Amino acid sequence: MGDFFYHYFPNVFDMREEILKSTIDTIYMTFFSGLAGGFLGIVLALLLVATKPDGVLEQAKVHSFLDKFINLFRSIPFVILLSLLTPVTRLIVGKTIGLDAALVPLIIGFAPFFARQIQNALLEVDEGIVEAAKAMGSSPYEIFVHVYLKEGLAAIIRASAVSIISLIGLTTMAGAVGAGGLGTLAVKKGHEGFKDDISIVCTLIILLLVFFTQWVCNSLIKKVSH
Amino acid sequence: MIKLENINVNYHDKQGHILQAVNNVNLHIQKGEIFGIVGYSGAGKSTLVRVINLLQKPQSGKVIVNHQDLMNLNEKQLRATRKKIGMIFQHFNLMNSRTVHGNVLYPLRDAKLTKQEKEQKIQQLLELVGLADKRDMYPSQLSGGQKQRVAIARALANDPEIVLCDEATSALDPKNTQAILKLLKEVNQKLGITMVLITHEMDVVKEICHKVAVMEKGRVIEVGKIVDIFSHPKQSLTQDFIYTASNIELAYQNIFDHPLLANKLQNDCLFELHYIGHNSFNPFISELYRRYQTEVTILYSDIEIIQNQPVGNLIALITSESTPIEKIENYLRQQNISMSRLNALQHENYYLI
Repeated sequence: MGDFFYHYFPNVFDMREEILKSTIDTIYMTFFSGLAGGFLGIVLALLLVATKPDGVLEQAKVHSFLDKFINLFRSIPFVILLSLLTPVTRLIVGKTIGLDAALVPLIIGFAPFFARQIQNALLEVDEGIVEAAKAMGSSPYEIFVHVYLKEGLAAIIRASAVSIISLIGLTTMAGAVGAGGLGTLAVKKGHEGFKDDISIVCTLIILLLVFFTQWVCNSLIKKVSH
Repeated sequence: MIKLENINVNYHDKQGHILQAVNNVNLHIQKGEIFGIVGYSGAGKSTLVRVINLLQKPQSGKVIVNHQDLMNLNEKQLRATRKKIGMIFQHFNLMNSRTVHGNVLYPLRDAKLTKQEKEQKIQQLLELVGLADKRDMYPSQLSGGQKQRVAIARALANDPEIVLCDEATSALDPKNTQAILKLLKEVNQKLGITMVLITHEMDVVKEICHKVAVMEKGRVIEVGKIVDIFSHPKQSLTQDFIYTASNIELAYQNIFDHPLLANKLQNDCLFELHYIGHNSFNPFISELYRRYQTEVTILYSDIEIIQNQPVGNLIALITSESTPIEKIENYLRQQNISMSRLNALQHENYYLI
């Protein structure tokens, strides 16, 4: 066993601490940008659903502006967004390189994508239930909380799983601004340093993270659907 | 209780044309009444019922509920008013993520009751609709009829004075339809709740409504007490609806399909007789023979009790050799029986003979 490991993965053991740190960095970036971008995305999605024609707070102009805004940001490739946002990042974080600097473009890249996913999830909620809630004297706020978010919960979790997995993908590109993480490790050390075993291990760890996310979300969906 | 005055609702379709969903409608619904609104789909009845709780805001007109013009209320006042107007829907519209208990609790969310009082209220409501044992089930575990019962309990939670029913039985099978109608009737009688019931089925109207309005293309074309509408419909659409709720159509089919009868029709005249009230029980047929030697052959006859009034329909062959038919018609009119000779063009089957 030991021989096999040393033969095929000669560098993994030596670099174990770096691999561990990169894994933690990836989780850190995913978690915090997921949290902040997730919050922003849900707010954007609720605004989109509320302001749509026949929505609870119908506002055609706001709706069309938000819709175009989200489409615009979703269309910019993430690697380019990273460099485009440098001035904004400097303004917010004070520096343009490193883990925290990567969070700004990650959040801005993730939020519109997530908003679109959540919007679709919320549109699955039966309009009849929304109408019934209105007939029972619910305020727009109550309709958001008690109808859209509660009735759409399973669909929201499903959309979140897809989004988090794609967010893990985005974090691997954050190496372009020196953020570290498993993506950077695989490219800089594995690929450019001719250490293929490092690339393979990085891939395996990312796969594990993806499977774990999927598993957690599936269990949650099972719990909330009736 | 409910007064609708000159209500107009317009929609813009995608080409920018204006569609008049509700066209200058005036309705007056009394307290404690079950008021039916019938019409084919697209007649504007669903839009009209939504005007009553302003889920649909009319372009012009007055909506007066309990002496209060709802168009003058602000959002907050309107929401408070809506809590006193229950509504049930064709597709139930229950919240799927809540149990039966949770669904009935939702309208009580900011009622001024203690937790215990709320629980007691929910228990009473579930007993009223016969679902006390399904308290912790989710809507997906219930049948259509049971879901509508939950919806009724939910609609009654805030002790409303009015319940609006939008095609409440249209998604149910005949047995459940009967059971739900019985429950609605019970609710109306026990709690004195005013009900507005939208339907395309005249059977439903006949079963429980006191009054009915017939709608076509956004207009109310006929309104009246249910017995009057059923015995003396003025509009041909109303007539159509009534036929769908009776067996007359089927009776004609049988009469015209029968070879022996079809033969007889060549010599004799076919008449339709309608009568209401207690003269239904007078032996007018033997009287006709005694006075005018007129022979009446009954081909179809039934008496229905609508709102405690007998309403009779009769299809008969009338052979009268010595007396002109006008005289017979006159006599029957005196007895409050309307008689109409069957027009050959009115029934395509007759025409074929």
